[in-house]
Amino acid sequence: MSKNLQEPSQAERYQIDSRKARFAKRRKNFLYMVANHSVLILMSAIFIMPLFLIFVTSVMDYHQASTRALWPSPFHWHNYVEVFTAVPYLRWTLNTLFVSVMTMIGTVVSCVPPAYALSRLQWKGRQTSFVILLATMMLPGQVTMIPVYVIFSRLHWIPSFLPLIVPAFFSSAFSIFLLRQFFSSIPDEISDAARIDGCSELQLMIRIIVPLAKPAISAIALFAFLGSWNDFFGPLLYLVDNQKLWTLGMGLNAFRGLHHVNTNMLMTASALFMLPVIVIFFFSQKVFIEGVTLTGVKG
Amino acid sequence: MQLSKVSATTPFRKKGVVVAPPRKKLKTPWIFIAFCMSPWVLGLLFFTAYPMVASFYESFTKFNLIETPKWIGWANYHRMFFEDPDFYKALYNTIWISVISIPLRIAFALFTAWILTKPKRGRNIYRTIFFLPAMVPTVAASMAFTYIFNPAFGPINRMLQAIGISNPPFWFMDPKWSKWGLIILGLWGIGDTMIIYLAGLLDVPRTLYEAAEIEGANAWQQFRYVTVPMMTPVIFFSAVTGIIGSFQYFTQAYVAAGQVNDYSHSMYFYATHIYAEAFKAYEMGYASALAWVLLVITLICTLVMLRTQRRWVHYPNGSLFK
Amino acid sequence: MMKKRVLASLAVTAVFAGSLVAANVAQAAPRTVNVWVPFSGGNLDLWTASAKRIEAANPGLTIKLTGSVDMAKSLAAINAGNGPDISVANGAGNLGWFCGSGAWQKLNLLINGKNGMNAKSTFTPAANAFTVAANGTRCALPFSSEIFGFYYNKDLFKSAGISGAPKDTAELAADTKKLTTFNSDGSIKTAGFVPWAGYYGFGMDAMWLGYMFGASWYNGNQSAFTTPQWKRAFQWQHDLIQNVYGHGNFKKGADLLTKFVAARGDEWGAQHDFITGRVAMKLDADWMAPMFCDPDGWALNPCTKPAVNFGVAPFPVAPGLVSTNYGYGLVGGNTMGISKGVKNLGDAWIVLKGLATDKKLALEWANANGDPSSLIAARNKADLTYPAFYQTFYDISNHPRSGYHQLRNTGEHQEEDAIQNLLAAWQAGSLSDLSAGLSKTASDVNNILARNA
Repeated sequence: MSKNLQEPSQAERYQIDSRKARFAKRRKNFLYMVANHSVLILMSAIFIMPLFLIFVTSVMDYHQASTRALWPSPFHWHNYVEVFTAVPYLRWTLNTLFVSVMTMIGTVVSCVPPAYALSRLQWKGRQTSFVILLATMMLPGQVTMIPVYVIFSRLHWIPSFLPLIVPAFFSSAFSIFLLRQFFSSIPDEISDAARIDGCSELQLMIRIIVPLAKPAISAIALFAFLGSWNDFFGPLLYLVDNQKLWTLGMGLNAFRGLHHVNTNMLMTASALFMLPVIVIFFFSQKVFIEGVTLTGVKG
Repeated sequence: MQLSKVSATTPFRKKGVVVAPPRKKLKTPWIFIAFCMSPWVLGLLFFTAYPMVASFYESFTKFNLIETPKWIGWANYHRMFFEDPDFYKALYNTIWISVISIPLRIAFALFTAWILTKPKRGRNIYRTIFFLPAMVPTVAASMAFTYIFNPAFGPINRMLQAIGISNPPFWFMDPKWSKWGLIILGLWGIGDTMIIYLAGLLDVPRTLYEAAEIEGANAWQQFRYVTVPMMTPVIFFSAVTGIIGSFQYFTQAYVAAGQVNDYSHSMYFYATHIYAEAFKAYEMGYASALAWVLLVITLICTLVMLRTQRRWVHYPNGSLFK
Repeated sequence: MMKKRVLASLAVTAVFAGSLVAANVAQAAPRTVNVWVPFSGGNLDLWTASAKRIEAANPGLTIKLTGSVDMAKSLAAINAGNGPDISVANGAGNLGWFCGSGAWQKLNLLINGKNGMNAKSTFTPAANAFTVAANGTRCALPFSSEIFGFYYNKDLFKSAGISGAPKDTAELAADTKKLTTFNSDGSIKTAGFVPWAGYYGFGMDAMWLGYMFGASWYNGNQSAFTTPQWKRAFQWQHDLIQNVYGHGNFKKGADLLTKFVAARGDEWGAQHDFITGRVAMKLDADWMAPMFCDPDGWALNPCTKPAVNFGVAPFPVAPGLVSTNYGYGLVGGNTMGISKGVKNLGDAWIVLKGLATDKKLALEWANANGDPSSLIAARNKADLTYPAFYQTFYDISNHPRSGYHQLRNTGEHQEEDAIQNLLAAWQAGSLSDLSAGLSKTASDVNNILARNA
């Protein structure tokens, strides 16, 4: 079917055209793909760069970090040991971990029941409660901050971890909201069946609904943990007194003012501070992204 | 259909008198509801309701924590509007950063999410990378940014010089540029907003794009006339939360300002002012007044946004093409 | 069973929370005096020993000393209602505030009472100045003094052919010009003198500048920022930046200095610019001398091989002030006071007075740290060991004009912050009308004073 030999038939011409079109389309798609991936790779590089620079600086010695060195040579891995001896880094880590874990426990324990009542039980005042809950989510924390501080100071809880932990045991509007969205999506038939089987309401909540809502509960647990891990303002208000009580955020912020600490170690400490959350993220990415999605789309 | 609703009308009970022993307990006992709601209700009372009343009262007092609050009428509010230059400085900075960063954040989140919908393969890897910075603890991120944006030895300016920008800005060290540094820091951590946008984009029905394509819309037109209108509810949501958030913007600015000795208060925001008045100067009454003005400003902004939303927010049930 | 588990976990939580509370509400015994100090390590040991001496002299009295608590933290605790009986502040700037807000109580009655003391013959005049607020209220007793001086790098002076420390600001500007060198890319290599808000330090740059020009802080009950001395001081800074660093161009000079300041070495240790020779002259506190002698150990004595070959002189002053003011300086110091609402005022006073007048503590402190004592009895040269250059600090603190600015309740030294912030705006070029800026700052301060009156 060479062109030179004879004119192509109608059918053949159609075939050639469509093949040409397909080829053109594939070519176009390929170019699109190349363009897309180039942009995506470039943007990935931009997003990654600060993390990369933090890491690179974290293994430089003072001289390299404060002069114009771009690449550490040699690598000062020793920084990662030194940071534990130069400042009470381990202590700060354990403090942060303790506060975060307690906050996480408190949030889960105190948010599941209200979310359950707001989504799966019918009662008078439910709508009103939900509207109030939404309203409190919009309330700027500064409005309540001072009297709450006064309450804690009258209780002699400042400085201690209590003001950071105890409120978590009294629910967070955001977590209730998120859980409620998820609970609502579980079919009612499941509850009905369980009730007919003689399940008590508490059993129903804990044995049937909670296991089904695992993704949402994991999400609020994760958010509570990370929120607490990353929190700076709370510790700033309530842990003022004592370096022994400091969390990592507090310690890091004061890093520069501490004697006998060089600034290059700041990046070492920062890198260590980020590491756990990044590791957690890689292991829980799915939970995390589903959680974020749940908060936003329904907003 | 909720079963408990049915139970209210079922003939097992009559005016609270049990007619027949309920083999299957269908109505939720109030005590259980009370048990469930108690953490939230108590929290609401202790940490929201009482504090709101108290702080409203304290906003009319001189209160330094040691002495009992002393009623001074409107003096705190008078001071705020007529005697406090830091109030206006903080307000200016806060409005400035809202006006610049909220649209930028929306555009950037929309763009990153949109480009993430494009590849057939590798989307998850890119998504992970784009999201990663949002995980970095705020203090660490702020520290790191003041460091890498250091005008003298920071790598960013050296790179800028390497690509031919001979006089790069001094970023956090220059009062005129410091807020741009904060904005870049915010854009870097766009991840969680982006995820919300991405979910929204993936929800846009394919048929709409196909219809647009048939009508001969090019990629940009599709983006402009299909994607953006479908995304307006999400955009609206992030604009509202953005405004509320910017009046509470604190940690990044506080940490960065502390790193560079920001004496000219270029990174002094509304929340910083409240913090400084309350916990540095122990002017608890004045800080409460500032907080209430903040609440009023936030409410007004939200109401205005709600008012205008009818004009530009398209909800899926409404028509898309006019 | 599930119910039990939930209840059990709730109970565990409750018990746990309870134990945290219990740990926090440690009840003080009736004759216990709690003292919070910002010191640690060897310095804290000196205080502990002094507390032991006071306990021995007052049977039945227990002193509970807690170290590493700076005044911001003590104040937060005092305001939260669980603060110490006695707290110690570094620096004098907040005395007006502690006094005016009631965090520290007035000592006038106690000092003139039965168990009182004669402050005039006990403490140096400068120390009495920085412990008494404007209206004669005394809320604190002094401990050691903090004296600010002019450090200069002798090696750099020698190679630039400068014979001695400048006495007036004109000489200072000329020396700065001689000492400043530039890199090939135009950036500053070595700076002579950097009068710049934010170049190290404690937000005192504007205060230092004012001292050089003999500026006062208050006229009667009004802020004195409108006086010509302040304007001269600011103008001098502007001209120095323009002429020395910017070669006639202020913007260029300010940009170069911003970069120079951004690249400064760490404040604490061998990387400090003054040690590395990046800057040749620096106003700083007497307690920086040990670091310049020995950046690792902070040992002032013997200082035979200092990390940088330096000398100390009084602040250079405006040319017209040399005859009257040269040799004077800014003198602040540690202050200690008794919290409001203290349970046992009598015992707290015994401890406060004991600590302030403990000659042994004062001498040991001065010999360990350098800081000259505020206690006259602890200033005999025979009892003290310090390197020769350090005599300058004693001389400064003996100068009749030395002292701190008048102390008034401006909250957390807001007048100091206000003038420092103005200097920052001025050097950033965002303040066009200097006189208007100074008047505005003065009226802001007056507002604060009126409100806190």
